[in-house]
Amino acid sequence: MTDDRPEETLGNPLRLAGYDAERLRAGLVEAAPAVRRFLFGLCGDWHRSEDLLQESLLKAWQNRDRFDGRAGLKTWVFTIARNHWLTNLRQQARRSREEPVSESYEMGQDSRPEAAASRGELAEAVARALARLPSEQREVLALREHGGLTVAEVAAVLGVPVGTAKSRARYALVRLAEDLEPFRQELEP
Amino acid sequence: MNCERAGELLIDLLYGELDGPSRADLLKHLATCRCCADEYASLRRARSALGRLAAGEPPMRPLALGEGTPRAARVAVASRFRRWRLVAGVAAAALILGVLVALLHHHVIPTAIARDMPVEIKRTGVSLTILSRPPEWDRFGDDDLLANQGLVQHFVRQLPGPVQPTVQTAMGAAGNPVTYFSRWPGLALVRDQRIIRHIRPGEAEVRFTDVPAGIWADSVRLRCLDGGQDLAVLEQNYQFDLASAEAVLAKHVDQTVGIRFKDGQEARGTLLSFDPNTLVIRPAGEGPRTIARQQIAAVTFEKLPQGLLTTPTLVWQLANSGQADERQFEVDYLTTGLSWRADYVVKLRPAANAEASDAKSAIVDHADLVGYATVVNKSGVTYEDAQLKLMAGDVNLLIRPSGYLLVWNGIEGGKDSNGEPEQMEEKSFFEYHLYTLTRPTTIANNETKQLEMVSGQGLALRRAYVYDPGENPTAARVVSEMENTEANGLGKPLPKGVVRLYAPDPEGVQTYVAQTEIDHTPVKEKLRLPWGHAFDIACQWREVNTRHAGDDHQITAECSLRNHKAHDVTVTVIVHVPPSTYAAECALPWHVREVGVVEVTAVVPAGRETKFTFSHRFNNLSGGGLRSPYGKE
Repeated sequence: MTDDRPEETLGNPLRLAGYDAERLRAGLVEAAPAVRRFLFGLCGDWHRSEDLLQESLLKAWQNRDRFDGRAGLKTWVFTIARNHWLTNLRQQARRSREEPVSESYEMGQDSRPEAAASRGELAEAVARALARLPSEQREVLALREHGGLTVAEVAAVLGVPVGTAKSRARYALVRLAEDLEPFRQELEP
Repeated sequence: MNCERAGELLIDLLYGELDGPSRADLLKHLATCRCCADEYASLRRARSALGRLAAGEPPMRPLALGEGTPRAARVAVASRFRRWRLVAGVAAAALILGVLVALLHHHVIPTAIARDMPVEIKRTGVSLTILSRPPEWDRFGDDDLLANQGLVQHFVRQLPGPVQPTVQTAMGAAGNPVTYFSRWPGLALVRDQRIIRHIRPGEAEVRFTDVPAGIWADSVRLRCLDGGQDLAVLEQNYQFDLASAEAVLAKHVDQTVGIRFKDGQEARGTLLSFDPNTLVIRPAGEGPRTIARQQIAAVTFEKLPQGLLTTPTLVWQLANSGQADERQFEVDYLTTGLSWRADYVVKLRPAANAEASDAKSAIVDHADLVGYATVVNKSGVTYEDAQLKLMAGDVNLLIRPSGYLLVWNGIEGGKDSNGEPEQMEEKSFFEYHLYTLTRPTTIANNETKQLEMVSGQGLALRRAYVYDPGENPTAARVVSEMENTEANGLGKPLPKGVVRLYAPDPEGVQTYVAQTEIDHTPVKEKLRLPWGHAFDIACQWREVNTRHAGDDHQITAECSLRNHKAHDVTVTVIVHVPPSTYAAECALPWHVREVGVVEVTAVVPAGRETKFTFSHRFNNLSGGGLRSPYGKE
């Protein structure tokens, strides 16, 4: 069991990066809300993103000696979460052919029925528009918009040039705006 | 800058990652290129759509990253969590909480407040003044706040109290919990009057327990109403580390706890982690196991953690040299968790929904308006028989660099009205309007209350058409204009809020047609309600000629308006020009509405097309000061 090994045997790279276990743990806890929002951006389901978050951070924690500090801690955690999501997606596709991947997006509560109706409609439209995007574009949006990473960090997580991340974000947003044209008035900032 | 380069930089501008000369260049380009400006607007809309998707973010479960957290156990927790969440969550959490509170009463409470037992506190009255949502929050929108980390930093308050359900917490740099408001958390001034009996002479302690969790501890003020100089406040404390089931459990991670099951069996072990449905326990010398909270009758702890209270509590140390046994106090404080908003319903009357009979006259609709105040209490405390006041007007949110939010002082309000007192009574107050409910009401925690605030019958709404190519390049917007006067059936100050329009369909059934938002509207002001776009008016705007001579630029555009209705319409065309515009030319009457916005008035006869050109000149170095020859500026 890798978890129970004493602190002293922690891998050298971690020490080199100036991270001790406590600092790393604090870093993970700090990053958690953003990572969860990123996962929500990918799967559209808060329950599922919570589970994915817990599993991803545990993975990060268990593999803490592989964190070499070359990439920032944030980039590292997001990379792990993204890989975990991809693995999870593949497993799910293999496991349940009869049960399609959930595209249901949860919505915030608003007590007014009319608001709920109109908001529900918009939310559904956003969820559908997102689902129509190519996955690499959706990822960029989830990392940038929900995870709150900078474009440079997004590029680092995905392992693509910054320019590529930017153009993906741009195309994705333009396409979303086109799909959401009926809600134009409502979305006007 | 050309459009290709601008397109590459739009994303940077959108994400606030562009500065310096490129930013200035791009902004300049956007002011003149409709195509790029449109793209930028659509990028922003898409962002705002994504922001709404993430609304309703639930609170986080605690992370269990202990040294001894085996993977298998965690995964089991995760899958159980999903399965039982709905069915068992509430029941199990309530059960555990009940057990713990009972437990704590036995162990902590008597020792902690024993010496205050003789003190008797009775609430005699409470008044709530709930503020309206300040404009700062409108500018960014609820959900943009979290999306844009840079802005969030400005809206941070280091709250002393426990976390609100509407906020997101993270640990700040100094280890203090920092609270990020993801949406307007509400703000109210509470005046709470109490009678306190049996204050002991000398140094005495008084505790108020029913205070909201979102209280701003630094705003609390205790006053003695019976004017005694013989009572002084030595010290005031706000204690908020709540002994919730979660808090007690969290303090026992990695410690030994005892568990008694419903079937009477008992177990002991180290608590590894927990969530609302499951505990993960490692009995001594064994592997870890998960236990559903449903099966648990009680959790026992070896000793109680220090410093936990059952409810947020205000504690005063008083120096009492008076003789009176009964004293009257007033406590006032600001708290988050109480908010209100105005909602309006405008119902068009059937007869007037017909088109104007005379082809030349403008269409006038007749409608009834009702305004409701919706009050939401998420403060954690029920206010019984409270005197309720709702404050309308934009209060100023002062943002300090330390991340502190404070309130007060104001901006323009309106004139007082002589509106008949209805259920809600409206009065001017400083620069605001205050709506007071004329009878006391009980606002329970987690309650949403709707109260009628204003109403008006038979209002005349003049229909107008506004074409703004920047907003919609092909259609004109329908705008209803209404005078907020008594002569027109209203004449009451209208707080900012959402207006919903219902119109009768051909069968006479009221149907929901559109919704829009109005700003605070004083009496005698014109109310403009923009609805959707007109079906039968086709519009087109295109730039036909651009000329540049050094820093001097001239842009000529052609506008075509086609009216497929059976009567004439007057369309107001909005033209956005750079602020540095110094001259404009148009065959139709026009005037400058504000810097950078020109309005052209075009009459389009029934079944005909009206075409005109509009050209403007601007000079970024020396331009500005556009004047219309038609006056009315």
